[in-house]
Amino acid sequence: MKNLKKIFLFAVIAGALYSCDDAYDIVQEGEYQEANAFRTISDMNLALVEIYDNISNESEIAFTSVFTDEAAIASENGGQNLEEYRHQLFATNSYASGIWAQHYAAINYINRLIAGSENIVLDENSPTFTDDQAEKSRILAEARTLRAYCTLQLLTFYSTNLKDDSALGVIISDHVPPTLPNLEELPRSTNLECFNFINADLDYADENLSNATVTTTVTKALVLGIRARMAAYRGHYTEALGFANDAIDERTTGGAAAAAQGLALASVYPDIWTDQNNNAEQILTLLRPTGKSGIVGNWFFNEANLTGGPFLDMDRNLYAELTENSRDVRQQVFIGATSLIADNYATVFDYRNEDIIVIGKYPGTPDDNLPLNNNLKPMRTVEMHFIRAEAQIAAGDLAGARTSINRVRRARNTGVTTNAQLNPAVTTPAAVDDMDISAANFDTPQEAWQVVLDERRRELCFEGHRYIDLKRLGADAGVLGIQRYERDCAPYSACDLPITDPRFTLPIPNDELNGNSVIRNQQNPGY
Amino acid sequence: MKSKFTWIFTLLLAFFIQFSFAQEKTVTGVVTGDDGLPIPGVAVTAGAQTVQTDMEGKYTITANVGQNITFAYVESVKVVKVGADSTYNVTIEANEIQEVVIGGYRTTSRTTSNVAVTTITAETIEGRPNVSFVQSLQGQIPGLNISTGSGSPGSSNTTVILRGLGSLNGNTEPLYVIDGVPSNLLNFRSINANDIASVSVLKDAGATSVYGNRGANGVIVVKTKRGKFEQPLTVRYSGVTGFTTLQKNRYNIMDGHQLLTLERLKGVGQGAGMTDAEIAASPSTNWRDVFFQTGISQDHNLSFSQGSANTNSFTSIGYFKQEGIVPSTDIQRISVRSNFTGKSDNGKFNYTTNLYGGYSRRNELEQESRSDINGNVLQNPLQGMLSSLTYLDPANYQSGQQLFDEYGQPGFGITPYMLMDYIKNIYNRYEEVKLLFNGSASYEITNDLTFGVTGGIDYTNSRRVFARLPQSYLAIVSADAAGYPEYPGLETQSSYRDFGFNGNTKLNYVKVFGEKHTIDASLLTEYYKAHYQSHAFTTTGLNDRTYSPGAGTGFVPFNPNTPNLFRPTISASELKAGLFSYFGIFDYDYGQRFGAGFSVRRDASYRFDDKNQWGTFWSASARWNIDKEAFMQGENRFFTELKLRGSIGTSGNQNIAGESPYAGPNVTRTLYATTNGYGNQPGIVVGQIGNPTAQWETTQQANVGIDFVVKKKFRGTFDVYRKYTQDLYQTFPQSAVNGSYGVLANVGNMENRGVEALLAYDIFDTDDFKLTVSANGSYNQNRLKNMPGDGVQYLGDVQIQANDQVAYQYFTVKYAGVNPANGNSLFYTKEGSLTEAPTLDDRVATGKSPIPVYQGGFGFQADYKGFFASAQFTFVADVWRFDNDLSSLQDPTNIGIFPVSTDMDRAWTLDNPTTDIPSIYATNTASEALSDRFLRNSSYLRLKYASVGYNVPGKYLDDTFLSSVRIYAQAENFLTWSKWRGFDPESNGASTFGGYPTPRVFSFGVDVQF
Repeated sequence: MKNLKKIFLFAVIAGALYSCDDAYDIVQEGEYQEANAFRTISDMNLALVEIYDNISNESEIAFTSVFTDEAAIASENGGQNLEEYRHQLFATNSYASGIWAQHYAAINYINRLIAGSENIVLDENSPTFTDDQAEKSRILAEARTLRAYCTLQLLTFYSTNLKDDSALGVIISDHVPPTLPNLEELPRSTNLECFNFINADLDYADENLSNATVTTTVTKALVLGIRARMAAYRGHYTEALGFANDAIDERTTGGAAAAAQGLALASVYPDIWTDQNNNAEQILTLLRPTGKSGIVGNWFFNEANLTGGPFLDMDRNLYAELTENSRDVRQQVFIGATSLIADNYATVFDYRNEDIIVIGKYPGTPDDNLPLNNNLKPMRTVEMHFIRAEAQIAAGDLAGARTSINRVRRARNTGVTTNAQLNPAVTTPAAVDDMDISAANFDTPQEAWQVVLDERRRELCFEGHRYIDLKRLGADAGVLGIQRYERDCAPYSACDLPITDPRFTLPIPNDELNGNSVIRNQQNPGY
Repeated sequence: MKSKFTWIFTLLLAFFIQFSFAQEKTVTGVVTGDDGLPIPGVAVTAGAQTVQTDMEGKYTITANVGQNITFAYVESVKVVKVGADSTYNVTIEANEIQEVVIGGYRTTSRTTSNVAVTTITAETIEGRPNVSFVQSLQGQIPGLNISTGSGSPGSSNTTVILRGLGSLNGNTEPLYVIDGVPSNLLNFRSINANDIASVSVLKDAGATSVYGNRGANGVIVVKTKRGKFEQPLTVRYSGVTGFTTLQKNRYNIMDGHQLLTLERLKGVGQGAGMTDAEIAASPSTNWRDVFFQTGISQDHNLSFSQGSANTNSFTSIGYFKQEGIVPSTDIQRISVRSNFTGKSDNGKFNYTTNLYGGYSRRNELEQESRSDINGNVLQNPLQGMLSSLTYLDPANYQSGQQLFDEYGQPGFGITPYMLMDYIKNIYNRYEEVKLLFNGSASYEITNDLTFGVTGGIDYTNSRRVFARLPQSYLAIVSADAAGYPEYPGLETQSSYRDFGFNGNTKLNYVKVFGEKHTIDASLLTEYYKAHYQSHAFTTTGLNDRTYSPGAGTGFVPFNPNTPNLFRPTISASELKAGLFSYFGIFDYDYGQRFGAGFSVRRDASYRFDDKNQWGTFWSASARWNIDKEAFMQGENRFFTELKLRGSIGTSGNQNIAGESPYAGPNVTRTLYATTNGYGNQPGIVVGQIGNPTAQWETTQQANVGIDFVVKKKFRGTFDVYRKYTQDLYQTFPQSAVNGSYGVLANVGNMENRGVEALLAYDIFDTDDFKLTVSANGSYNQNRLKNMPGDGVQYLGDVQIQANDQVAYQYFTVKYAGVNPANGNSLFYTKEGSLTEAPTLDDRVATGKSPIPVYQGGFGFQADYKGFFASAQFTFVADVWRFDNDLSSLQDPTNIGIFPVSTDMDRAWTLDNPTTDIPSIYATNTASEALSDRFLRNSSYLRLKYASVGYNVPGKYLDDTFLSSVRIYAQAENFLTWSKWRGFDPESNGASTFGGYPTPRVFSFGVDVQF
């Protein structure tokens, strides 16, 4: 009897212990481990698709617009972006943190793709070996171009002085960092090291990119454009001129009429901003279809018009520049049709609510039922024309620079209807050249720099350029600081920010300093 | 696997060798009431045998040494373990259940308990108009801090912290054990509080360590009501009806005329340029009347209990309904419970089953589950009163369509109308089915050895239907903007199913040696497995002719010609979690004078990598019953009871990624995920970077306590403790090159030290008049240790985690007041000079945190000839929160857009240079966000609960079928004293901004038994 009891007891206990490991040896359904992630070239393509989705300059655009002199506090502002508007820029600033994190996240994904690609060994005996190899290189070339783009964006916002090769740049991230417990802490490299890193990626891309010309992915023109921009930012204008010319050439052989030198006529120009034409003047277009973040939301709650909840509108000084000439297509495109313009804006009692200049550059795509979404245009050929002009001024060729600027201005002139008329050498009716810069504006290099800076403000507003442009061109142009309209900025004590202010370089974000002790003594001055 | 268990069997065998040493003897005694008079008719049970006390309260029963004798009388139960003595005189007090100390996996008498446990009983929970019984515990248990972040009916936003914060990122809530089965419940809205017989809070390591993997934050043991053997059918009905109202605030929002006058002065908004006559003719609205209401609540319970010789049962049916103070919010619940107990004729086999089913349905604001819309004046009606211009007329709103036709797109100027429409036309309904099935069985293999199993199922099924109805303004506006005006609206349906199984096996051995040495040893295993499934979809575009929320009708189909419209989004998930443990408990008692207890537990968690999978947790506890010593005896002894006890031990927290057992199910592994990539093409990306070193958080706790009773009138408990949590799983800051700024890892420690006291004194204790006063309080000091990096981590701009400082400490620029020269705000720099433009470098540690340092409660219970009254005050002190609502109401840049407080009348002007309110033209108010200007002391003292009532004396009921009748009135959150100006100083958040205030409730109840 006693034995029976024991047996019973053991049976029950054994039953309770039986298969107990199913309680703790658990792998969740659908876990896809990294070791299995890269097996074929199509896996690389899948990873590349996600990398593209993480490339963005939206935060740079949003930050630049409100921190410099492009945007102002609008009627529906309930506190949005007041800190940035008031230049309250600290190491905890969410843009400083976000721009840094977002580009390094993209670079991390790129590095994982590069590392994963090493697992993919192609069969040399396969009949498709050559094609496969080219395809693999093409994917890596696109990824590395994007890494170069991200690194240059980081340099643009976080390096104190891009003209100084020995100044501190950013962290070079060229491999998949090890995980806990072996976390790495990498210091900032010098600008020169960063430039070399970018160039190495671009060299690889030159060799391995296909001849694709679709601007929604990486093209050779983009590689050249990045080189041109980087050279200009460095002040290496001889190089910059060459790359800018090459980029324009590369872009025009891709379809745009050579005579236009890659510029869109005023008749086509609005289509760029409504996303009806991704190929007109863009060197890179980043698609933002349904389900993706909408750039319009950086200034509006609901829609890009007066009733769509504008919490930021256009600074009145920028408005004044855009409306200087009635033929300037940019005033129709960049200033929202629903704007509330007060004739007596200088004296009207409730200025904030009675003079609302709707930012129209990103009108959303309401026809596609996406009122908050527009594609991003991180690089356009017009920038190459400006780089060309800058290089010409730097080389003392003021006349050449004037020609370059006037070519852009003619392209924006609604009276100009043919590509031939874009050439400032061609004599044209008054309607065509009434937007041309006269020789008088170009008397001295300083005047020329100022014209370029102003023209860049007009053309490239809300594209994330103004912050770096004021910093790198302001001194030569004799522009002392931001140029906000007084009635916009005075209520916030936010009218003055000299170009020498350290806040023209973003702080290394506090979040990075927290996790990276070696960078803590490399914080930018002023923070 | 197998090898790990070898030693269990070895131990078991060691016990088996000692079978059959039972010592059967006759036990006698007298049962008296706390008035000293004998009580006849008390059911005395030992094993299978049940006898009743005679007219002199005497009983005689046969029992084994080590066996429990149960004394049951009306609502009171007392258990005595048979030791060396043969005479056990028992006193049953009105609230005798407190004498039983409910511990981990076992129940001991108060005398032989070594551990820190506080128990409260049904009467302090029953009939109170709280959806969740947890809210009724507030202020009753020293060391237990309960703060409710939302007054929405059925809200789960209640934080329960025992003896200080136990984790930063992981679970901080105690483990709830219901009828012996650990539950993964995170809210109790579906549980009927009236079914609860007792709630015991286990605090020290001696009590919690046996819960090993889930015991680090304390354990709350809930017992539900049961029937009794040999008890005739008792039917009880109780009903409560109540009214919920908004608590007062002291924001002093300007009325319409004041606001227009201020706007005219500043030249902004509608008031700009108005004449006196125009202002006088303008409307003035108190938006409180629009956005808040008086809600009605009802609670009805019917219960049946009865017992025969070998079975007893308790059955209850409950219905609860509560309307919120915000229109459109409410909860309804129906519940059924059936508890059954049975035993064999020889008493060797015992079993219980507990079946509970609850169904609740509640309507909530979307804000309840989305903190990102707290400040959204289009989607959070809780902003309605604080953000609506008081000169607007509610009559301007008729319907969503009218609002759109008249005003177009959203704007701050139509805030109240948008929110009125939101309350009316946004549908957000949850339905929850909760089933708790559990049971236990035990068999006395020998007189010393009992084998038992306990098993339970915890099942939750929840469904949510959220809709922007086609007629809602929000739907119409979005549809117009996106170009589908004919089919506005969207619906989201989501549901989840959560199934958990918990099983225990237990082998218990009790033995008395040499008359005085009693050992009680148990070996147990515990198995836990849980499964979670969810799915959800959202579809945009509703056809209002056929649409009905949740019915699936009226969804507009996707059309490839309009690829960006009417695209449903879908999601689903499936998760598993599990634990396995084996453990042993050993208790030793020497003649009820000394005792010691030990436990050791091995736990395996599903969450960790092989080398960290198993954790070992242990405890040791001891006591000295000083009152049993010879020198403490005597006729007029001062201490009727005096006990010194202490414990030390460890417990673990495996829910390191949050409250849920499913959170972070595979944190150790680097995983790739399918994404919606560029241009909506499919992509893959590393979705999680694994941390193979992730492991348990371990809490070590030492506790020393004294329990005493003086002259049978004054009772008390003191405890001193130190809790030390190691390997906090928290964000370890890393460089962004890793893809993100942080990785979760086990770094840093945290210390909580504190003292607790619970005191009660029976001032009067006669037949006619009874008055008891009681008080409890606790102090807890929290300190972080060994934080990663350089020992400081920043949480946003104004909070830090720093070494040797309190967790979640505020780190702010010190506000200096108003600059008399220009009306701007002034701040102190770090060095102490004044500035108008502070930077982050000017922030200083404040020593203040949102977690209270002191908390407690006090109150009284009085009873005079059937009339009774009770009051319970609660307090918390040294607790700080940002009052962002006040900040908004004092923000000069809001003038013209939002209402402001009449405080602005004191604003700086040239004629009024010395004031606390900056100029209405102040240009640096944005800097205040870094400062402590709106960091407010939210300490409070509150009359949490008060009741008065009448127990109809039995003599009036003799001729009726009723056996007892009680009527009462009660108030919840009746009065509050606090410096806090908002609705409710009690909250679990670091700031208040458009939150749902907890209501004040008045209710009336009746309780009859027959």
